Amino acid sequence: MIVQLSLMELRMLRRDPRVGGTLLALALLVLLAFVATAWNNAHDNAGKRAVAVAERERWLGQGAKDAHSAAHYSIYAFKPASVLATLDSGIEPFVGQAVWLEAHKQNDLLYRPQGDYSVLSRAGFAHPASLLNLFGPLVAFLMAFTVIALDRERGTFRFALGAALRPHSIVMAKFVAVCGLQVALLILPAGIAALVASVAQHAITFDVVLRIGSWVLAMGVYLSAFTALGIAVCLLARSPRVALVGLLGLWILLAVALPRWSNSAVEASLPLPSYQSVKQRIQKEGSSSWAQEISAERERELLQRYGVNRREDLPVDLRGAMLDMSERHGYAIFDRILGGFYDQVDAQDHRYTLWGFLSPSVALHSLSMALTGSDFTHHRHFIESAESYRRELINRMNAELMKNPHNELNAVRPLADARLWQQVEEFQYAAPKLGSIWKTVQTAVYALAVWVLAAAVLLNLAMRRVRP
Amino acid sequence: MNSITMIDRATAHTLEGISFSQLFSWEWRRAGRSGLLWLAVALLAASFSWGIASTASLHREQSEAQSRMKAYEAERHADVLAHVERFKQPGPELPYWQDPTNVAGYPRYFMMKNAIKPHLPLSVLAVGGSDLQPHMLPVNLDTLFGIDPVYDFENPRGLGLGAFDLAFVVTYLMPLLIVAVLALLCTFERDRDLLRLIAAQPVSPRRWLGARTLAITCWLVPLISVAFAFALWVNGVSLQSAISEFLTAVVLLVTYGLFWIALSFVVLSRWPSAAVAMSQLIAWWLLLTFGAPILVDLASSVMSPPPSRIAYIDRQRQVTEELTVNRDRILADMFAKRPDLAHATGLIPLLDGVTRNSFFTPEIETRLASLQSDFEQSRADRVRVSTWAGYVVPPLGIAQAFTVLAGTDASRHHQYEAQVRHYQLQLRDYFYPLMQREISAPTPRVTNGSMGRFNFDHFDDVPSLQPVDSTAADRVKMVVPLLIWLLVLSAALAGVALRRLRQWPAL
Repeated sequence: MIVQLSLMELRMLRRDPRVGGTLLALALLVLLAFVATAWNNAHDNAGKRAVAVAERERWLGQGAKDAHSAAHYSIYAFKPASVLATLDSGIEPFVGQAVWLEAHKQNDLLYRPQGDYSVLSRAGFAHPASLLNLFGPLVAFLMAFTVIALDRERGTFRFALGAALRPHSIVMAKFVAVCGLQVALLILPAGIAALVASVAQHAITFDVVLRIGSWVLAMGVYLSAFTALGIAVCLLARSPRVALVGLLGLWILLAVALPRWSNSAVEASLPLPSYQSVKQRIQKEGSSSWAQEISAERERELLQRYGVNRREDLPVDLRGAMLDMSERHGYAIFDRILGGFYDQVDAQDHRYTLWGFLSPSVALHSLSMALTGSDFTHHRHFIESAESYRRELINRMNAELMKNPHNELNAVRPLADARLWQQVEEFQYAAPKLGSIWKTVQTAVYALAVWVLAAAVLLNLAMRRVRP
Repeated sequence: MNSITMIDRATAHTLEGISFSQLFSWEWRRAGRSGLLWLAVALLAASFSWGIASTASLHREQSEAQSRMKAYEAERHADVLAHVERFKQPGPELPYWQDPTNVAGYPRYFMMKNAIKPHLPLSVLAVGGSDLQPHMLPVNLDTLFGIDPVYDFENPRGLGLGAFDLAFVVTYLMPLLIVAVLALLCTFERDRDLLRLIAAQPVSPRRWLGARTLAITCWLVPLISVAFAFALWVNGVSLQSAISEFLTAVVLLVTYGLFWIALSFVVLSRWPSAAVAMSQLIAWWLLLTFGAPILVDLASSVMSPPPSRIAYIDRQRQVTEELTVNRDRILADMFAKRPDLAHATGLIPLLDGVTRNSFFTPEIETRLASLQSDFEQSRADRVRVSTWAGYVVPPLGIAQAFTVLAGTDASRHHQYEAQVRHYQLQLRDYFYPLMQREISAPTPRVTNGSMGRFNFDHFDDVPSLQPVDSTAADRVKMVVPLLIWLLVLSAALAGVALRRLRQWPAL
């Protein structure tokens, strides 16, 4: 019976020009944002792949040179945009896209797509998830208002309730119709488009399908919670005016103001240290500016380690060994200082997600980014993969230097060549699987679940109060 | 003119029994008792305060980081001077990268110069680009085109979301509250079927709705201005050095408020119910604050896509490779063109890396100049589109105007970058001749047996950055056209509404 009633509600909703127009406008905007993001990402990823191939060729064809010079020459690693960033760009436009993996330094990823600021580029930044997150609730409220409050005002709702055997089923049918329409017009097309884009880019895997399915489910749950909330408010309100004020207030609070406000509250309660101070610490602790003192100290340490008194008696190349010591000293500093900084970014993100218990938009924002692989957890995974590759490359170069001792003054060292360069494997990045990010998403999932539960309870209470 | 209109006008004329001032004064008193109005203003005041506080906190941290950097620079400089004294002692000769008294070693490994972009006194008005663009840049001789692509890592999730700053509250939340207040207070009679009763009174629709709208406006405008000033005061923002920016911001705020009031007046002049009025006004709000910027940005990106930074990296690596492979030949060509170096080509293989870069870095820049020019052109185009879009889409214009007054706009940042580049060129003009002179006419060692080379010790003669900023008057001038445009637009909208309000609706 609910199915039949829902189909009837769907027909009624379809005839309402305001609802139809709004839904279609949002659906078109979502698809437009999808196409624009997909085109940009595909274009950028193709460019990155091509330059990565050129970089590899340059590395292999760099000719004979000192292994340490090769470590400085090194290569660039490019971060590919997640194939599902078409659904949610997340942090992608605000983080660097390329990193130079050179000796001595864990460089930052540079060239952020949104790095060149203009008010327009910031205000016009949109992708399907951001549109659905912000405007989806408004559309849900508008439809709830149309099917309940306006029906109440016209008197048709009272008439329908009076004629029904089970009045609750009328409300449930309206709920199902509104949710169904949103899923069918707003969420599923985006999900299907993401699937098609993944196939077109030969990036379809079980993990991608699972991620798209989870994203569609999360969006569906999110909009259902708002629909239930909207219907409940309309049923509980004394008049359509009161319902309207309530719905508008809820939308402004939950979807417009709280996400940004939560972010600034997190910044205030758990501030990040300035990045400049982080870099300054790295520079101070890993300082090579007064390398004269440091190199003398390291030489003494090496002589002691190998139990010899003269550099000429060392079984390893002194320069190579000192470079190796210096690099490993640097690794520990990067892990401690930069790793600590990234932990703080993670902590901020977690604190922000906790605000999801106060606003479902916050919970969905975190969840959607994680599911589409465009959050900081995924970004950090790339940073760490690239850094791990850098360390392997540098260690290999230093090992080559160390194994041929040339410790006499003014010794001429042999140059390394393509045989060494080929021993360094090509950098291949694989994003983490969905199963490995449960720790990141669990708070958002729980928050969304709490909201669904709360909305269902409220709807149930409101339905109990409904009298013909 | 049809007969019905003639009768309506005549009736209206004879029935204008209640004067506008009487009606206005009654409506003004009534609007002042509206809980909704006071709730909206209270919410706005709280949001203004929070927005200012969060921006102030960000900018305070950045200013502190700038001070720390200055202190660190001074500390490094003192350290250099202490080592210079030590390196006067006899000892093994230091390589140039460990020797601050070597003209090649000092600028590359020891000199620390950072160009600071200070915040303006009223920077709390808008975060603008201050969370995205660097507020200080290291100045190095080898940085291509002067601007190191480094940035201060702010949480990128927050950047994507946007800041809850004053500009956000003004641009997005304030219009919502204004339209909610007007839509609900001006449709009360319509929703209760009381319009018929009012229409029977000796008052024209224009006078009745005009008086009510004006009465609400006369509450909203001063209250919003007071809330704004109060929020600044609560956050301890000193206005003494930025009074002209403050007054301009107040006028902008009021003008933007008037625009939304006028737009609401147009919608309300159709005598809609509260639900319809709200739906239409929110549709306008969505269109102007989100829809139009998204579409304009999309169109601008499609019509003029920004050049690829990845392609730039590729080209830069190619150019560097070309120069490295043919290093000695290219240098020999360069030396041959210089009378002071033409005889020194035999020394080319012995050049240190920094001195070699003094020839190669400008050469790399020459070879990458067209790409760099594309980036600069694209960036300038985007700023221009953004500025013009501000006239078509008032929320964009207002957000932009607030960033201009705050000094967090793109134009000021570009000016700052231009100064950084200029300063870098000054440093190159100072050091490059000194380094290159050492090739053909090396400075004789003054202290025999010292560890340091001592071909450079004029540390205090190194040029320093002399930043120049636009004046407050310049910034105010930049926003005045938008202000006038918004006033004209508001007046036109009010005119449309008044024209529509010639007769009562047929209810």
